Amino acid sequence: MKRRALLKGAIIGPLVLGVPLLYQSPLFQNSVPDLRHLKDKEAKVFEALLNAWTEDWPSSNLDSSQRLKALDAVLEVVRPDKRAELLLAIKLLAFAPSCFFLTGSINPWASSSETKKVLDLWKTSSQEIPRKLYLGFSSLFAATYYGGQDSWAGVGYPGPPEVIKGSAL
Amino acid sequence: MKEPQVISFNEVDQKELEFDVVVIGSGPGGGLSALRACERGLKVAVFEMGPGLKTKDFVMDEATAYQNLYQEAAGRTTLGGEVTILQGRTLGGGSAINWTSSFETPDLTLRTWQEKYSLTHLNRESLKGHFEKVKELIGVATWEIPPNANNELLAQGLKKLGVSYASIPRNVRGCQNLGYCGFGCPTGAKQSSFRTSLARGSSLGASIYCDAFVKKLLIKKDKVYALEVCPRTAVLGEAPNNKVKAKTFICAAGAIGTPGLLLRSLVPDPHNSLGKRTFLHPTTICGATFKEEVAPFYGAPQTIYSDAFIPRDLNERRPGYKLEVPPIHPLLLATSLPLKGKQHRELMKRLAYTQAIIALQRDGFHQESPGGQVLVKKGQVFLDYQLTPYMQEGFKRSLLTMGEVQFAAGAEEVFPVHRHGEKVKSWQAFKNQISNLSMAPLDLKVVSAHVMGGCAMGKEPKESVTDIKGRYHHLENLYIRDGSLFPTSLGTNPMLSILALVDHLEV
Ligand SMILES: Cc1cc2nc3c(=O)[nH]c(=O)nc-3n(C[C@H](O)[C@H](O)[C@H](O)COP(=O)(O)OP(=O)(O)OC[C@H]3O[C@@H](n4cnc5c(N)ncnc54)[C@H](O)[C@@H]3O)c2cc1C
Ligand code: SF4
Repeated sequence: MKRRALLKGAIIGPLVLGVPLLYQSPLFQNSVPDLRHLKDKEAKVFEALLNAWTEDWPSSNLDSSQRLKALDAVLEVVRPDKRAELLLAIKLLAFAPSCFFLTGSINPWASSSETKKVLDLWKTSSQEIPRKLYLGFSSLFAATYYGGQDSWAGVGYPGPPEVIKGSAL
Repeated sequence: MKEPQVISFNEVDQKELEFDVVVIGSGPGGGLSALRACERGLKVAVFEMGPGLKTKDFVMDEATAYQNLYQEAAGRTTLGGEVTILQGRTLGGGSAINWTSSFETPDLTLRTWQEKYSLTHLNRESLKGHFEKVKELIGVATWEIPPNANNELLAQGLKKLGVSYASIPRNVRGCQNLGYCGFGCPTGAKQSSFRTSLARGSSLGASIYCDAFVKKLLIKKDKVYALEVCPRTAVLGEAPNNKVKAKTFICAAGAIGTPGLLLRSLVPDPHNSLGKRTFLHPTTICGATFKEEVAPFYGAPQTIYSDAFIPRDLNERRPGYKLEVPPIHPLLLATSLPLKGKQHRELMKRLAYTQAIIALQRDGFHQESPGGQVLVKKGQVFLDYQLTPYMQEGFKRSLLTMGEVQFAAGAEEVFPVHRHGEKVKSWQAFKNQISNLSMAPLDLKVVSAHVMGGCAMGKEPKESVTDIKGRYHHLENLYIRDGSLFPTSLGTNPMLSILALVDHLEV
C-alpha cells in the first residue's frame, strides 16, 4: 500500500539544489553529532548508494559520512511531503522484502559491485519507480558533490570573476 | 535609483495592518502594479515570501543562490518529477534571477489570443505604448558587446545551416558581462523590479514586506476583506497569523503561486477553471564539447536566439520551439545530467569546453498540448503536467535541430541530456541515437524557467478565470497581475510581456 505513494510524487527531485549550502553552514562545520532522520540501517543504504554512484568522481575534501550528515540535515528544511517521500523510499530500500521488489535483491548494499548492479538496473528500467529513484538520486548526489568550491578545480571552473565596484551601483 | 527599503515580516509585531491596496508577490507583475497604485496616491503594501536580498547581498555562488533565491531551493518539479521548474522566490521574484532576455509578445501569440480567446483588445497597436514605457523603465536595449562563445557557437552553427538568428535585447544598465545573472546580479546592472518599479514605489511610500508568506485570502460575500500572513520561516510549523486588511487585493504571486493561493483560499470557482492551462515552455537540452575553450560560465548568458522553428501560421499543427543557450555553471550542469559514475565524470571534466543549446517548446496552442493543472493538497501546491506524445514528437525534432547546429558549429562531440544519452562524434551517429531514444517522461531531461497561465483572462466566466481587465470573475476587489493571466504560453521569454500587459491593465 505504501509503495503506491511512491508512484505519485517526484521522489527526491525537489530536494536537490539546496543541499550543498549546508556544507557551508556552521551547523555542518561543527559536525552534527547524530543523524536525525536517517536511522542506522537507512543511513547504510544511503552511504552505499552514494559511494557507488560517485565512483570515479573527482576526489574532494568531504568524506561520505560528512555528505551523509549534510543529506540528513537537509531533511530538516524541505517540504514535509518531500521529506516523507524520501524517507519512505529509503525505508523501503532498507527493508528486505520491499528492497527485493525494488532491486531484485534483499540486501545489495553490503557490496559495492551489487550496489552498482542495482543502479544499472534502475538506469535501464522501464518501470516508473526505479526510474524515479534513479533520477532523484542522480541530482541529489550530483548536488552534494558539485555544490561546494572543493569540486571546482576538478572540473576546470576557475570560480567567479572580479566585479568592478561602483559602475552600476 | 536607490534600492527599496524592505521590512522583514519576522520583525512585524502588529497583529493587524491596513492599506488601500495590497500586492502579493514582488516579481515584475507585482512590482509594476504596486508602483502604479502608488502613483495614484494610494497607501500600498507588497508582501513577498522570499528574503529581502539586494545587490550587495549577491555572491556569485550557485549553491547559495539556489537555496536563497529560488522556489524550493531550485528543486521544484511537476507532480511526477517530469519537469524541473525554476522560479524566483526573493525580492524581485523571477526578475532578480532571470537571464535578462527581453522580448515583445510574438505576433502569432497575440493573433491566437484574439481569434481563439476573444482578447481583441490585446493587439500590437494597443500594446505598443506599453511596451515602450516598460522598456524604458527596465532599460531594454540592444546588446552591443560580442556574444560569449556559448552564444557565438549557436550563431555560427545556425549561419552555416542557413537558418535565421538574431541578437537578444537585454534589460541592463552598465552591465559588466559577468554571466552570473542567475545568482542575482552583484553589480546592480540588471534592472530587476527591485531596482526599478519597487525602488520607485518605495520612494513614493509603499511598504515592502519580505519573508512574508500569504497563507490565504479571507472572503466575505463577494469580496476579499483581508490576507492571512505569517513569516515564511514559520510556514512549515505552527505559524501565528497576522491579518492584513485592504480595499483592493492584487495577486502577483506568479503562475503556480497565484492559482495555488486562490485554491488554498477556497475562492468561488464555479466552472473549475482555476489553475487549469498552466504552461511551462517545456525545454530540452543538448550539450556539445569543442576543442577550443567555451567557458560557458562567463559572459552575458543569453545574447543569440533563433525563432526559425516557431510556426508562422495559426493553423500549423506541429509544436514549435525557440532556440537559445543556457549559462552553464558546475552545479547546474552536474544536476542536469541524469548520469552516474564515469559517464558523469567525463562530461563534468569537459565543463570549460562545453556548449549547450536549449529548445523552448510553445505549449497551449494545440489541443494535445493543454498545459497542466495546479493542485493544492494539505496546503501544499503542486503542478500536474503531462508531457503528451504530441509534445514528445516536438522534443525529438528539437534535439535533432540542436545536434545538427552544434555539429555545424564544429562540435567534437554532442550529447542529448537524456537518461540514456551518449556523446557521439558525428551527425549521422547523433541522428541514429535520437531516432532510437524514448522521449517519454523521466527519460528525457525536461526543464522550465517560464511558468505561465492558470488564471487566464477572457470574456466568458465559463472559459476564463479573470475578466479582460484581469479582475477575478467571482470576487469584486481581487485582481491578478502576473504571468498566470496568459491564456496560452507565449513562445518567447515572458518578463517583458508580463510588464506590458500589467501596464495596459493598470490604465
Ligand atoms: C533562471 C530563470 C531565468 C529566466 N530568464 C528569463 C529571461 O531571460 N527573460 C524573461 O523574459 N524571462 C525569464 N525568466 C522568467 C521570468 O523571470 C518570469 O516569467 C517572471 O519573473 C514572472 O513574473 P511574475 O510577476 O509572473 O512572477 P514572479 O517573478 O514569479 O514573482 C512572484 C513572486 O511572488 C512570490 N510569492 C509566491 N507565492 C507567494 C505567497 N503565497 N506569499 C507571498 N509571496 C509569494 C514569489 O516568491 C515571487 O517572488 C527566467 C526565469 C528563471 C527562473
Ligand atoms: S552579466 Fe553580470 S553584470 Fe551583467 S546583468 Fe548579468 S550578472 Fe549583472
